[in-house]
Amino acid sequence: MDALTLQKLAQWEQAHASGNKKPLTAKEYPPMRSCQDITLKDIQPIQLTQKKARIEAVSAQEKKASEQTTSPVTSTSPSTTSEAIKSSGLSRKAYYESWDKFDVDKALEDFERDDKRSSAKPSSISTNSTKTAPKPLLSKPTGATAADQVEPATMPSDSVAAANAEKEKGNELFKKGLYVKAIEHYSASMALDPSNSVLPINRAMALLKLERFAEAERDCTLGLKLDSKNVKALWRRGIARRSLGRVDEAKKDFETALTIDPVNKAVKEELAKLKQGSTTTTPSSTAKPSATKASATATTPSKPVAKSTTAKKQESPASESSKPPVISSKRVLIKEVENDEDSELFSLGSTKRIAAEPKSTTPTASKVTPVEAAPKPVAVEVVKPTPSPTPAPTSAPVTPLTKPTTPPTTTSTSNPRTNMVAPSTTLDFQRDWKSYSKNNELLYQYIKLIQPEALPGIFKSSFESDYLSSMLTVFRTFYIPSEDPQLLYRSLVNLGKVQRFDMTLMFMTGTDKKDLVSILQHLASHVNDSTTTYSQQDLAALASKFKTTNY
Amino acid sequence: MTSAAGSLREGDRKGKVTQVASKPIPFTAFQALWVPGTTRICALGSNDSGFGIIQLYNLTSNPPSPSSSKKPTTATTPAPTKQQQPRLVLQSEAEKKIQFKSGTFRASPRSSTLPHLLTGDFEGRVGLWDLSRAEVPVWMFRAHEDVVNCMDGVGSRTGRPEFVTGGRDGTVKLWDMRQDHKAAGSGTGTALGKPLSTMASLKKQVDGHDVWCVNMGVGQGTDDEMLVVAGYDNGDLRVMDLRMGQAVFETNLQHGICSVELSPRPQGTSLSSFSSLVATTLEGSMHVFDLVDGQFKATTSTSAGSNTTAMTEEVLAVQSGDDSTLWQVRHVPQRPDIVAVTDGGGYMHLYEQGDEKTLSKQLGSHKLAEQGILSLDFNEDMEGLFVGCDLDNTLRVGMLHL
Repeated sequence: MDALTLQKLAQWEQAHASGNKKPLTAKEYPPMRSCQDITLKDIQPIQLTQKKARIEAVSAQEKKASEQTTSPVTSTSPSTTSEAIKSSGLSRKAYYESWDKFDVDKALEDFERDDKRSSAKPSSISTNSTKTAPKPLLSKPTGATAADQVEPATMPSDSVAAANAEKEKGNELFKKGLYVKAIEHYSASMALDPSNSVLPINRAMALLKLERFAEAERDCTLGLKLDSKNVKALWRRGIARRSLGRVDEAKKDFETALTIDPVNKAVKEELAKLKQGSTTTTPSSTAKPSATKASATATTPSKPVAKSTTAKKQESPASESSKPPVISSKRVLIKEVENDEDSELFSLGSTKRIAAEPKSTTPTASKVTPVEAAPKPVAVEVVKPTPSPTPAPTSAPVTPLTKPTTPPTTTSTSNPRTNMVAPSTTLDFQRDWKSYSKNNELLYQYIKLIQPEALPGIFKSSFESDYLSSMLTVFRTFYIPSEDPQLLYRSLVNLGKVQRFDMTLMFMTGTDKKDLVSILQHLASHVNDSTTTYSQQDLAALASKFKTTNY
Repeated sequence: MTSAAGSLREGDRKGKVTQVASKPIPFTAFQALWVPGTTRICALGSNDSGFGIIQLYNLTSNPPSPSSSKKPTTATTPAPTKQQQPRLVLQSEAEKKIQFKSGTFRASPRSSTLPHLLTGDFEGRVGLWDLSRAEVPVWMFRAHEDVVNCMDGVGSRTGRPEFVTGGRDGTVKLWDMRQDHKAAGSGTGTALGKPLSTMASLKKQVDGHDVWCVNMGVGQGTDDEMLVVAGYDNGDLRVMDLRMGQAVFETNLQHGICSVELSPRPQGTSLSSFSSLVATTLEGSMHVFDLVDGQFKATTSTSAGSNTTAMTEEVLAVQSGDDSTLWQVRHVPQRPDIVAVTDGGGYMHLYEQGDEKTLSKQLGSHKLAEQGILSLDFNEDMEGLFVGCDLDNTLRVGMLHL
């Protein structure tokens, strides 16, 4: 040690060796503070990636100004701007400036990527876009709603955490392709945390995958209610609407999405697709699933302006249970026909029928065209799967048609002119009946198509007395001479099984009753045939069902 | 002395650290403190037998005289005119039942011959000692439920004679020296004293976080204002304003915070008001926060080990690793822009804070010991003189040339 230091030390020692010689004087202190406890809240640890990135950035260039390292992101979810600024440690100006550097594209890409990967936070912006994004003020960093932080206890933290857990499970299942189960979890998490906009939007995505477009659209709307600027929600709703055929609304959604985020490629693509597809759409089109396919199969418009869409089949995944019926998106070729009663299309010679049978899931493709006898120019009658409640006959909610199946007896039409298919619902029957009722022959052919056992299923609770009348007429006129009594018997029995049959019976006219009597008599006469299985007692029971006693 | 007599010129020595004296001590000293206004050093800690030890040393260049030291030394003929190397001479020792963990002189006012020592021990008790009569404490009471890890006071500087203690129970408590702790008894019972303020989380956490270090500082110079900085073992760093009654700045530094200090304003301006806050952590990172517009903002974080501008070659070669624990950070009281950090490898790193509130320059790293230096204290009368004790149970006195 050098002499200078030594000397200094010596001086110092001399001065202080004996300590402070000043006498003790009582210093006048201000009075004691009043008790004031400070309650501390938890601090969420800063994300490791962000932190490390920060440290590396700084050590690489020591003298950089703080903007580079930015946002010491304290993850206390700040609920106000000032809190966010305060907790980020930056000055107000610097905080706002750091938002200028926020890369929206990257952020969107990130959460798109995240969503596809269904990683922990499907639509959070703040996590992966590290250095450039200051802590967003939106106090719902979607995944990280550990709301027991700065948020005043609007939400008990466990339910949010539970909601999160459900969401995670949903994401996992989504990744695996188990969409139905994923939806269950999303629904559970929505129940736990109704204010989280991500959850319905995720559920919408899963529903889109299942082609449940109406439900997906509803979920997107819900999500948008919670977060009106959510580009993802708008984009998905646009897709849903497009798939439902509501092209204009879809376009609106895509355009709104673009105004929020002008550089979103996915939205731009969708919009382009939409615009391209819409050139082949007629203005009055309503339900046109997949308008884009129309161009491929569109027939040149002749006198009736026609538009066709192809029905595409999709196997519902094996894992799906049939409980909530899966509407597989078979797009049905629909020819829009002008409502011209005199048009030759309406003449029976060239009628074509639609038969959209969603009953079973065996795929059969068929080209179908609706024939509209209804006064309004509705181009498509959309059929809902039978398990769901039959809609009122006049209104048809638009859902993508499922592939039609035909009962085994389709091909049994003997009339080469017509192309009949057995009905599957009241609607079909009603429509067909209207067109055939003028001609009993055709009606006979048509009714013959229907499997007797299917009768209750077709009519459900809307079996009208007119139908009964015409059926009875047909039975009497045609069945008796040319058909098997067994068939006739079966038909009658099943007819009796139709719901509220008793009510319908009350409307029987005299003619009907007469017909009935003759039918029964005919049946009775064949009781002992080899082909008949019914007995006298059966007939008696049948008769009482039909409220006739004498035959 | 002329500069010729000195082997080094002033300019060359800047940032260099020279060792003045060192002495092995027979116990683990958690804290080595200058007794303010004197040449004495107080070392407190615990020894292998589990007892609490307070030892008082004198740094003197006088040759040891038999009467003034307990240890027998060979008598040498005094040669007063000859400049001798200063030595640490043990003056007194006190052994207590409970091991000591922390201590400070800052709680007591400076205007006394021998300031009282405030200690915190492993049973959560706080005691005040008159070191000239170290048999019995002036008072002692139970402050925390668990080890009192750290304490700091401002009584000697300004305002009220208050001190804060931080304990392993996760609480930081503010006390006033004038408080009467009769309710808590003499510390033998289990009742806790009632502090003026308790800074703790609301929910009693099973795995609460230890408070590892506290520091006090006055904000803008008024009496009421008081900032308490606390560092926790999970990396939480909180700055609490006692006047506002809330935490004004909170962040998490990922790793446990070993040491925090608010930088003192240069003497001459308002007393003990600070302008920046330095925190060091377990994994070799040091963080500086500046008080800008009344708000803290982080300026730089750096790994003390990863120096890009090493002053000497030896430092790089024997680098103890980037992730070694940074035990202590201390500002030089007379030069608040100079910060010294000790790491687990026995090095002391020096930094100078520039005007733009960034750590602009690293002045040097010096290997002072083989093992980490746990405690560091700068003398307030002699610029650059510091004392530290390391894990090798050695008391070291050094000089920082600025």
